[in-house]
Amino acid sequence: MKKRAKSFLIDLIMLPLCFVIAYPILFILIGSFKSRAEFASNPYGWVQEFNLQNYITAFEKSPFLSLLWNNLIIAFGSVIIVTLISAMAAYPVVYHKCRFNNVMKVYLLLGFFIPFQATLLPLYQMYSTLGLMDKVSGIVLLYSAGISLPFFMFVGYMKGIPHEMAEAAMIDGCGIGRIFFRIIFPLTRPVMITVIIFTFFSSWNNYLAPSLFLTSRDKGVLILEVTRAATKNVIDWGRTFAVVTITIIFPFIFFLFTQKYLIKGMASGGVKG
Amino acid sequence: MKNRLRNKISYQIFMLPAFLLFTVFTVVPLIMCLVYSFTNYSSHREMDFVGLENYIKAFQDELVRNSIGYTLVFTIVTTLGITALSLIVAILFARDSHTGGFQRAVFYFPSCISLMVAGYAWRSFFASDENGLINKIICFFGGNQVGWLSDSTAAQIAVIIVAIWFDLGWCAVLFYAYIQSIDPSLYEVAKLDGANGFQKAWYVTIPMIVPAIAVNLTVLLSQGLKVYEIPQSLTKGGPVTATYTMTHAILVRGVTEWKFGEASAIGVLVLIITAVLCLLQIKFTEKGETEL
Repeated sequence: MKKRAKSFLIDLIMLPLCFVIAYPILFILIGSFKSRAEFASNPYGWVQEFNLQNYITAFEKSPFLSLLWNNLIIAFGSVIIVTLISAMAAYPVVYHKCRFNNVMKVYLLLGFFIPFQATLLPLYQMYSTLGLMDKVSGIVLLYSAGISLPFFMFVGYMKGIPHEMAEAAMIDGCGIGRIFFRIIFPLTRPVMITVIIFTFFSSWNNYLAPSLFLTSRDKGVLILEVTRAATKNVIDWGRTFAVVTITIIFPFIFFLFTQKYLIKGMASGGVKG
Repeated sequence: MKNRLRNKISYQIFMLPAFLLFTVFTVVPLIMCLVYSFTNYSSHREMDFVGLENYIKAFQDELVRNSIGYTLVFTIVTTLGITALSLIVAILFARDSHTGGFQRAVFYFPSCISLMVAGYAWRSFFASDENGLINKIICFFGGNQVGWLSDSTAAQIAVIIVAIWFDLGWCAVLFYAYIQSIDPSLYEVAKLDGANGFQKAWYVTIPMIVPAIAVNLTVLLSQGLKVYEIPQSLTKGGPVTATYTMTHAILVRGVTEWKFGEASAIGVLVLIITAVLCLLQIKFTEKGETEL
């Protein structure tokens, strides 16, 4: 009985707090259904009359389908590449210890300390000369280079997999490649899920790189449309919020499906490495 | 012997893709940035080595100085603030009420959207007149209106508030996940010793999750130093340049004004600041961990 009262007390504190945390996002969602006039007179309350005009204008003015396609290619491309190559790089570091591999480990972890800002201008120039400007593939390659954190997580997790498994397979005549793809890689599933989720969100939500490297409108990504809608002199908030809503639908769905793994994965995510 | 060599080489092949991508898209640009920072490279001039001139310019440049200052203040305040607040929230999460899963999901979700969106969502809350939500609340409690986006200090605080809102949830969930893995018998021992809820949190929970706190500090530090999107969407770096961050300084000098040399020097400064702060933090928490 006492426990229940305590739990109720916690709810009494936490649920209003939840509302405060969720409110900015609810505000965007609700605001996207308000007409300009209504937004001006009633910005913060519940919508009086539902108005789909913001979405209609948004779809008329922006090439959403091709942008969504670009977003999906970038997200899936970088998720697949990052997960695969960072797990592959972790494999020799854990299973074939030698000085060279240790040096490589430190080298790949240096990425933690290299801010994107320091590499941004040379990349800008490099992309212009290599013809990677305005190319979705250029962005995928850039995100795929961000392997430090996933690599770190895979190394941490692989250390916990008993070496006997790989050794037994080797005695049975299994090659190094087969051991990795058939045994080790599938065993890293929990950390793999975490890496996939993190890479998905960071590639979907990154703004700075696409704003510099994807300059033509139909080659861009969704988030760039948000800034386009919001940089007018007088911002039409309803329309901007409609664009924002379209942008965050996918992360929201992805979040609903993955949140249980996310929370579990964060604890096991090899942070002990 | 031959077999062992072959073995060794085929192990190394697994590293190759990551090594190549990381080198070409991170390390090579970084080296180029270092080289440019000692030249007067720009769009309309031959490139010449100028020694430390760019660094001297950067230190004399008020825009650069202010943006570094603000970035440091932002980083330190958000890192400490988010860590402290999210620890409290995580301990409340651990009290496991029946709506706990829902609460954690709600707190976590902001970090799944773009930082850019976060800024736009809050912009009208911070409207400087009496229509802004925050001002309405302040006035309701009898305070005075604040010119959130027109006053320099207020705008700097506003950016920090949005950053805390954004990161609070995922940090709290991370800490919560670690708290779940603490051996429950420790709490029972504490209870037998007559510890109250606060003492349990302070003497059991927090010491047990120090590794998570350390990782978190590193992530928040390096994230904070990269801050760009929130001030960009919330205040556009303004009023004037009050909320310019180091990234803004690089973009203004580099992309807008095409002074690659100067901008690269700022980039190198960012690199040094990041490395020094992260290493200091790691040293510091390592020391703390061994003392525990």
